[in-house]
Amino acid sequence: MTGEPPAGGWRVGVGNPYEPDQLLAVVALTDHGIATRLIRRWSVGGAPRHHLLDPCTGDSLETGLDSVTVVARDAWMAEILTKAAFVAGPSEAMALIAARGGAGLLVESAERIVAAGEFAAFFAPLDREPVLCGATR
Amino acid sequence: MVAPKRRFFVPVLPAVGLAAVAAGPVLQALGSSGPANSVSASLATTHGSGDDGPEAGAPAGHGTPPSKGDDGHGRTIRKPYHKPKPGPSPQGHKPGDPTTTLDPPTTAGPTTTTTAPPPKAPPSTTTTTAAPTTTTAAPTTTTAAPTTTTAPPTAWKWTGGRYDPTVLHAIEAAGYDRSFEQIEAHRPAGSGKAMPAPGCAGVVLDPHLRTVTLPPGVGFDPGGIGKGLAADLVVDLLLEEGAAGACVDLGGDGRAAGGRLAGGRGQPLRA
Repeated sequence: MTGEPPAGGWRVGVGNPYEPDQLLAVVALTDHGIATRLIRRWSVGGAPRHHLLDPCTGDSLETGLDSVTVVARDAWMAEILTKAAFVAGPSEAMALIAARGGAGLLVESAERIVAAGEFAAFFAPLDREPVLCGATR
Repeated sequence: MVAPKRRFFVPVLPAVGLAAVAAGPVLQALGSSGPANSVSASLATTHGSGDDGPEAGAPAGHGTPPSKGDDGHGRTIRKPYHKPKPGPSPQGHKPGDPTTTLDPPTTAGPTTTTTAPPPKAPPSTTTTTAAPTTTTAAPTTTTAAPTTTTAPPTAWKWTGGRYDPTVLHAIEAAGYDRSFEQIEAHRPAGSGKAMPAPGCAGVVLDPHLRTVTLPPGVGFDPGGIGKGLAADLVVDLLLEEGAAGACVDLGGDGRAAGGRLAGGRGQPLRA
């Protein structure tokens, strides 16, 4: 039978980009996709690089975001929006995510974490372990 | 010597419905005007984005050459971003062909008739308490797709090129040609030289054959959509097979459906 989704939802942990063993938040999802991207750095020839590139230049992005999590209707949409939000930067990411019906959690620093769209509605209590903690990159 | 164009097939799963689901988001993300339109229309309705034309959802100001600006927090960022521009029509491509470039015209185009099987209609009832999934719950949009007269939204376009699956060679040059673990354990082999992504304007899709043809020198990086799409497909399959709910994580990209916590009590389930 079809109908309203049951109360509550799957608890999914969002990784902390600064403390790999800790969670930044736990969200409760009923019928949603979720994706998280964070910057993982290395160096090539002494130059710092990471895998989130500016398509226009091919340079590693430095837009002031360290991690982006997006909740959307589908996981593939959430994944696309995380990348687009990273490239857009913090000032435009909110509008971009919201325009596609998504909600985002933008991490600019350990002191500045911004919930975009309706992301706050997905927050779940931290009193129990989440089902999954995979949303960490 | 001119490098030949390369063609590869969008993954097609055994079930017809899943084949449409599998190809739909990929083609839609890239910009097909074929059967993937049904998925596009479904998403447009679901997300309520209003004007869902090619530029829908684009941040204000995009469409002009990149420039530097301040993000309001004292940092300099590039904005606005570039606007993808139509590329030259691929050789042999004529208006009305079932194939399409990734940057279709924004005005009414020729009506095309597709012979591709429509996505499998969802059952009227299911054995799950979960809401029907987005990708299989759009029976009414499939009939309108073949005669649509407006260009579908494409992720490459509506993100203003911020999502660009042709970033493959650029990301390899940056050293990301192996897993993170291998990068950390060994010295990256990339050239380190920054190279722009060519963009999707010259990529040709054939929704009938479910093929993607890349211009010479253009690489396709599924990394920005692949895991998410796979998670969606796995959850859809589990629900179709009778699961009351499912939650799938594929390393940072996950999909949940039919979650049930009995009012917030009880042990969470693991799929």
